[in-house]
Amino acid sequence: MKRIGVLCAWLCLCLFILFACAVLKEREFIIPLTHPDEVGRNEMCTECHETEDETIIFERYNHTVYFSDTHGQEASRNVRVCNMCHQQSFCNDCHVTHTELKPSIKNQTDTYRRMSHRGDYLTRHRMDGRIDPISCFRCHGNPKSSKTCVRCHG
Amino acid sequence: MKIRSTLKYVLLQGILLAVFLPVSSAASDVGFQSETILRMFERNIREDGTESGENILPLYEYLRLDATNLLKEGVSFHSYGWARHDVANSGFYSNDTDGELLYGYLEYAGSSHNFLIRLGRQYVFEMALDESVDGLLVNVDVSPYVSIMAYGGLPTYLEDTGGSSGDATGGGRIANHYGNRYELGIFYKYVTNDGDLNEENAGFDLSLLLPWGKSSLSGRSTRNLVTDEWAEHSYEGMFKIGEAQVRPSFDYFKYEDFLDKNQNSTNLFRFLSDTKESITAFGSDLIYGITETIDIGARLKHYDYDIRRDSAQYCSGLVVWRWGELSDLGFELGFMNGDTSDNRYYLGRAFVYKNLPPGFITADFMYARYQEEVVGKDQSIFVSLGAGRNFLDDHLKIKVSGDFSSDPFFENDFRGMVTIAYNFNYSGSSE
Repeated sequence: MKRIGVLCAWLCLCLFILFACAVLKEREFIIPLTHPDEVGRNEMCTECHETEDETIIFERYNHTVYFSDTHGQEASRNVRVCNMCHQQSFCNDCHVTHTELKPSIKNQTDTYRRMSHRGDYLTRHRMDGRIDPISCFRCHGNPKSSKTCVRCHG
Repeated sequence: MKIRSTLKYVLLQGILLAVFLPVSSAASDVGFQSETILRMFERNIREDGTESGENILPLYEYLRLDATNLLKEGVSFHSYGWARHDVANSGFYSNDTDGELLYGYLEYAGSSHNFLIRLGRQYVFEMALDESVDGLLVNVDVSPYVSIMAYGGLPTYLEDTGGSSGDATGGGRIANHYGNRYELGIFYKYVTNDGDLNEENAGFDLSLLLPWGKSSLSGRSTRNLVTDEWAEHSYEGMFKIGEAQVRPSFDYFKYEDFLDKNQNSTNLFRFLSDTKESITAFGSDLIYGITETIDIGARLKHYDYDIRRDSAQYCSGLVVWRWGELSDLGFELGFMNGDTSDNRYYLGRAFVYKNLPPGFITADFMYARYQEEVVGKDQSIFVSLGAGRNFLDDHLKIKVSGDFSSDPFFENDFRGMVTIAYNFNYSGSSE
């Protein structure tokens, strides 16, 4: 009963927001399907785009040295920004139901990308997994993706 | 059986390509990418009570097809998958699936309201919604301030557990936003497996541009509606101070509510879910461009637990020199100070990627030192060397690499790999 009440409250709030916004008008921003210009590797979006007066906080999408670790919230908030330069298959190197080759093996020669599980991860994963198992669950938490783990962990 | 299913997948891709090429006519753009990977390594295989060293030669094929502007602008088809065949017939992969269709969907992207509709096997990425679905997705901006995304279908990751009968997933997100100043989203998802409710989550996400400089705050909170508890709070900030960027982060997870044991993953997560433990992790990254070509980074993270008495910390530093066009040289050092001595290690890495058009060379070296021995060894050494060259106006790329690992689990392990990647693009719209 309590859950139904909470859901109803959220629905009413959403409908109110919809009504309030529908009466306003502003320039519509359409994210293009592909980036208009050729962009190279390690590109910083803010070299061309300013943060102010833009619909996207481009600072967040700069491919800094830690971007391979920290891109999660940016990509999940607005995956169409990523899709302008990256095909879905690029993301599937890591974010996938089931693949046999870990990303650092499949892209062995892309040393400039800080890919997960590089080197002897079989030993390190014991420690990382004991300290932060959530970091494992994000990618290995469903029946298909956990096949990597089932061999030893059952 | 394994070869048959591999060929079946390759044939499917070929048929799809043959169908779409003529159907698309002169106005369509078609892209086709093939990546063929041959690996070589040796492993011990146990058979009939005896163990012997066998050469393992898996051959992988990754195929991607993209056809855009099919019949009408905005209509496209995308497909990607992989298959594997053990050339040496060693039996190493006898218990593993030999391929997967990762996605294959028809899409229409409208010219207004960011309208998008997809039908087929696809990935749904939207804040806490991270699903692989055989079904339908719709996304639209109902006004410049409000966006709605909804999806429904079969969860692909459950098709191996008792078949697809009774499996279903659905959910969506509604977001209110004002330019880049703020965005508030509410999301919901459910998953049923064999007719039983497996998972039901809801939550909200927030993005806020802060008034001072190029700084922002974002994050999300997820509530497990089955257990009626908050499962996740993940937030991060981004602050620009001159040329430096500081990214503090905060994460809180309750194992019982976040590690869904109904998902039939591995026993490990089901065991952790029963422990009633929770983890709080907070820290920060610092990124600073010393010059236009040299970046340094530093990371510090602290882990705290509700039940475990001690905490853990991780710190690392790295420097990357962009040495020439598309060439990088980097060094990284890290230390994991786990709660117990068997969770502590030092990690060092040095890498180089040198672009030598039309080719490149790479090298990677990693060293790990463990505070306590693992299977009688307290260090790991990994070395990788690679090279590649482009042909046919960069449409064909051939890469070779070899790596060596000496670690607690493999003594003097040599592995080799050859990759042949081919891109084909036909642009009918330019004719």
